[in-house]
Amino acid sequence: MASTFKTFLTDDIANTRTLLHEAIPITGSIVNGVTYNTNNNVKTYGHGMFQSVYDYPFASSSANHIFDLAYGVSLIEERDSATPNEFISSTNDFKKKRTNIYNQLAQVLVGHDVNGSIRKFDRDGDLTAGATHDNLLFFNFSRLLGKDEIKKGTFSLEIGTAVTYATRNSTTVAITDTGAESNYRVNSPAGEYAILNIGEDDNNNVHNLTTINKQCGLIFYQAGIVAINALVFHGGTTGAYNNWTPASGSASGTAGFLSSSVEMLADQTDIETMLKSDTVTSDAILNAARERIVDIQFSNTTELNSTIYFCRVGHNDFNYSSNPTYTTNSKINVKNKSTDAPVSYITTVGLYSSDNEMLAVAKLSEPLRKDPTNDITLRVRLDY
Amino acid sequence: MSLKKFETNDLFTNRIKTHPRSYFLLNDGKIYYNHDVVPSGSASETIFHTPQGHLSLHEININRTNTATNLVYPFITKQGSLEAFKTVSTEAFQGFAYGDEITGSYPASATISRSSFAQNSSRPEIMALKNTFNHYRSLSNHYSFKTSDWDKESQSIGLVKIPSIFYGSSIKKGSVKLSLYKDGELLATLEDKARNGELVQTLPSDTADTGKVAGVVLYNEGFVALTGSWEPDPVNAGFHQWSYWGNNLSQAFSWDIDFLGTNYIPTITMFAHAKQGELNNSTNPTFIDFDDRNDNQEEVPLSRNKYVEDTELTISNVVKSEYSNSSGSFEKTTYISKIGIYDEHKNLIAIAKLATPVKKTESRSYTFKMKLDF
Repeated sequence: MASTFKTFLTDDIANTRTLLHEAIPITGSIVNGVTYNTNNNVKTYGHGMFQSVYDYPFASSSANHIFDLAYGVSLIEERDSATPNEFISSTNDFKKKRTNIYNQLAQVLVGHDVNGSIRKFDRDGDLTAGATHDNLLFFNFSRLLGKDEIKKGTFSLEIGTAVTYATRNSTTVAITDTGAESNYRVNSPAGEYAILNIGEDDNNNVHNLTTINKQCGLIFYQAGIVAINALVFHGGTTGAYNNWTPASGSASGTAGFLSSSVEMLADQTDIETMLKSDTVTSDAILNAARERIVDIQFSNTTELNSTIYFCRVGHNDFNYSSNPTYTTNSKINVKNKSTDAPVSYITTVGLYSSDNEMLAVAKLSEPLRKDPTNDITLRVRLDY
Repeated sequence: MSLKKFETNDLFTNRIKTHPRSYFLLNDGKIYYNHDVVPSGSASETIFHTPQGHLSLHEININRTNTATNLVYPFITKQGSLEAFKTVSTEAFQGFAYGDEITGSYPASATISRSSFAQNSSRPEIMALKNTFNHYRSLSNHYSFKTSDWDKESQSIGLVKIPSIFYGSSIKKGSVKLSLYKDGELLATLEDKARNGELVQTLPSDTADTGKVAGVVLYNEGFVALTGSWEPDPVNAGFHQWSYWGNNLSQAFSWDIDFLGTNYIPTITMFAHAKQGELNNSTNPTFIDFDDRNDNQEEVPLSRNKYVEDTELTISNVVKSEYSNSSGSFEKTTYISKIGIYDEHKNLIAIAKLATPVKKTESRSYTFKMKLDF
């Protein structure tokens, strides 16, 4: 129990914030289930609304949940263009589920308009006008990986672009948030987000895309959610989703960012065919997307808040000790002669509240000699 | 919603003392923790990239290929706060420019380790503990660093080092037990039955060495110092002394150590009282009679400038009756399903949910006990 206290002055307390990051690589072999045969690390559910990807077979207690993958569509886009009042499939229950996924995430991530209607995911972040994303593939990263937030400007998703399913990853393209450190949006109820852009693929298929047509998704940093327009996989020539037109004269597809007639699964053609199919489940669409993923990279951020207390020990302070062993027969043990200056050894710093309740104790790695000839400042850091 | 304030005797703080058990088995040069055998990894000894018997702190790079681009790693950007990883030396830190990334690596792991010091050999680890040993002399003379019978500075001694992640605040006194096995058969044990830190040989029970002190435990510091210089089991002599505990002999021999840690869990206990005549009203829409909720006749027209509540709303009568379509005697009744805890600024900071809603009538009173540990 201390018998002498020193009060902190204003300049003796400083608050700091340190950002600790982790680089997170997620290889395609984990995502596509190849590492653990028969997708033992990819959990599917009876409801078919989303899949969970683990870094190890999920039946093991050692497995970590990496992310959930879901596919969502805006209700309007689910309508048949030929008969606008009817849904594409009147019997497929998955359309409702996919719509629910879209709407639920849109409510959380984009919010509602002035009329209370659910907003759509906007391509350029300007919620007042412009094109929207109506078919989205959602990556919901676990807190284990995303931590406090994804570090801006570090996200990269590489996908395979080759036409043939068997060699689908022989050519690739990266979707990134390059430049997001300074170019991000704040008009989401879920925090900050940025636009994801497509780079050039190995065949230079997209290098002449206009700015708006490169905007293929959104990344929500604090929520840890990435939304990719599912039509980046679309290679068909039918025109409903003709937002990804490559450069004029390109040898590749005209409607999607991939080449036309691309095989998303071994027995399926392009993604639009799968989306419109009565028989293709959300799981099948998610499998097709997973198997095109070559690599995911990002860094996360953890905020470490610290308070630093500068404990200043003046030359006349703490040269004496209330330790029972400090004196024998009224003489200070550590002095050789009575005329020697008093001396003590500082081993511990106690931090007390205004009511003199001990709140924290800081220990020195080795005792510090203190006598009237020296003056010490001890820097005590409290992390939380 | 009305709020009730906790009174003086409704809140108290205590701490729960827990004793997590740790068990380490040493066999054939490997350590096994709590009988757990971690699956072997495709790129390293185990899927955690740690040897067997290690506790991995993050468990993040599960069975990943051991290349720099495949592994998760932490990094800090050098900035004005001058923070860095503890593994980065001051000299190395000075070599980084502001804005440089200072990287670390995973996994961070811990396990027990041991050192053996032959007679008269150099032993800095033992010397560093000299004051600590002497500090506990009041418990047992065997803690003394030097007596007329021994000198820990020169005698043959073994030191078992236990990281604090395995025991928390301290090792529980009297819980340490060390054993030796041959072909799975228990040959000898050391125990601290007197709870004074002395490790006494309790097995075999009929030899001259039974009851002799073979070492001491530093319970607060997580060390076991073994000074026993005799063969634990004379029948199976020739495989070392207690001071060589943990030494890799052959596959036939195993050593183990079993102990309890001490971990404190601070806990706040709160009593929330629902007294007679209180909490008998609800803002839940279904609290109002269905017909009254839907008649649309007595409502005051909505206005931009005012909101006037219907002055005559009938509370739904939920009193149970034996007969169908019977109204029964009316009694104000609510069902308590959860309790919200608010801070002094009326911010909701916690919610306690009941397993099943509790029926509250005007004549009943309840006290709910809530515990918050952290």
